[in-house]
Amino acid sequence: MILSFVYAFLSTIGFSVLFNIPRREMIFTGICGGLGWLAYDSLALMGVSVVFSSFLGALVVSILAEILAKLRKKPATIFVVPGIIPLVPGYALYFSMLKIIEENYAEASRVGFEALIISVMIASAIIIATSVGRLFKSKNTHKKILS
Amino acid sequence: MNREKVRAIIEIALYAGRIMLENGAETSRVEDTINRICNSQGLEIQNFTIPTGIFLSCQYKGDYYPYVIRTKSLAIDLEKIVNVNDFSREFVNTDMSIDEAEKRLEIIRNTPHFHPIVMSFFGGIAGSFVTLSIGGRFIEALFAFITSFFVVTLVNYLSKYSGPFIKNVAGGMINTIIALLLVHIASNFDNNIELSNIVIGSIMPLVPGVAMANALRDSIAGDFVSGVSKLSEAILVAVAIAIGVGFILHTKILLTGSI
Repeated sequence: MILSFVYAFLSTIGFSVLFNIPRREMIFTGICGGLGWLAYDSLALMGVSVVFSSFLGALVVSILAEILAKLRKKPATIFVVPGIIPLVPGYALYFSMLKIIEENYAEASRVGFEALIISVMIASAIIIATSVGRLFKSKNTHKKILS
Repeated sequence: MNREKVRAIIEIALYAGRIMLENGAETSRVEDTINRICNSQGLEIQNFTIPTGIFLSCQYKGDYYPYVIRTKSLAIDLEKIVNVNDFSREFVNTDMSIDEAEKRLEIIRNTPHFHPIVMSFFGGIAGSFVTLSIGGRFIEALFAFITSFFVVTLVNYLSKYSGPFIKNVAGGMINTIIALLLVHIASNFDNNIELSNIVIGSIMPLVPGVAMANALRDSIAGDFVSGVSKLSEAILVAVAIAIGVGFILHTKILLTGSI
C-alpha cells in the first residue's frame, strides 16, 4: 500500500520534470499523483472494475489539484497533468497492438475499447473537478465586483 | 493614449500570449491573459486564439489595430506558463511600465528548461516507477529505466526537427528495440522477464497527457475548435506510438517466429 504510493509519487515527480513544473510545486504534484494512484490501486484490489477505479483515481487527482491550485495560486494544469499520467491506460496501447499483430481482432478490440472507456472516464473526472473549480472561481470574482 | 502606446500595449499582451501558447497552455487561458492585460489599460479588444495562432483586433478612437500571429508549439514547459500567469496578474494590479514588462517577458522566455540529460534521467525514473506500479519486478524496472532514458533522449533530440507523428513513431520503435535487446541479453541468466512490463513503463513518457488535459479544459470553457484540435493531436500521438511499437514487434515475429 505504502509502496504503491511511493512508486506513483516518484513516477509523478519524473513526469513533472519532463513537463518542467516549477521546482517548488513538484512535491505537491507528487502527492497528488501518489494519492490518485493509491485510490486506483486499492479500489482495483478490492475488486472494483478497472474503469470505475480509474475514474475515482482521476477524480482524486483532479479534486486535489483544484484545491492545491487555490492554495498555491497556480494553474491547476500543473498538478493535474503529471498526476493523471500513471492512470492513463498505456498497457492497452501495447496489448491491443500485440493482439492486432497476432490477428486476434476480437481481443484487440476488447482491449482497445477498454482503453477508450478508461480514457473517457478519466476525462469526465477532470471535467467534473474543473467545472466545480470554475464555479467557485466565478463566485469569488462576482463577489469582488459587487463589493 | 497615442497610437504608439496602444500598439505597445497590444504587443506586450500578444508577446505574453505567444509565450504561453508556444509552451503548451490551453487557449482559454491565453485568451484570458491577453484580454486582461489589454482591458487593464482601457483597451477594448476582440481576441480569438486557436492552438496554432492568435487573432486580435482593436478599435480605439477611430483607428483599427489588426494583428494575426502564427505560433508553433515548441515544447511543453509549464513553468513558463505559470510565470507568465504571475506576470499578467502583477501587470494588471500594479502600474508596471511597458519597457519593464517587455524585459520581464524576455527573461521568462529565456528561462532555461532542465538540461537534456536531467530530463532523460527523470524520464527514466518516471518509466521505471510506472513499471513497478503495474507490478513489474526490480530488474524489469531497471530495464525500463534504461529504455525510457534513451526514448526521452531521442524524442527530445527529434523534436527540433520533426512534428509529433514521426517523433512518436521513432520513440515507440526505439523503445521496443532496446527493450527486446535487453530482454535478449538478460535471457542468459533470467528467463522470466516480461517484455510487456518494460515496454508499457517506458512508453509512458510519450503519452500525450498535456494535449488530453488541454483538450478537455478548452472544451469545458466552450472553445470547441481548440478542444477538438487538441484531441486529434492526442489521438494522433497515441496511434503513432502504437505504430512504432507494433512495427518492431511484427518485424521481430517475422524474423524469429515469436516475441
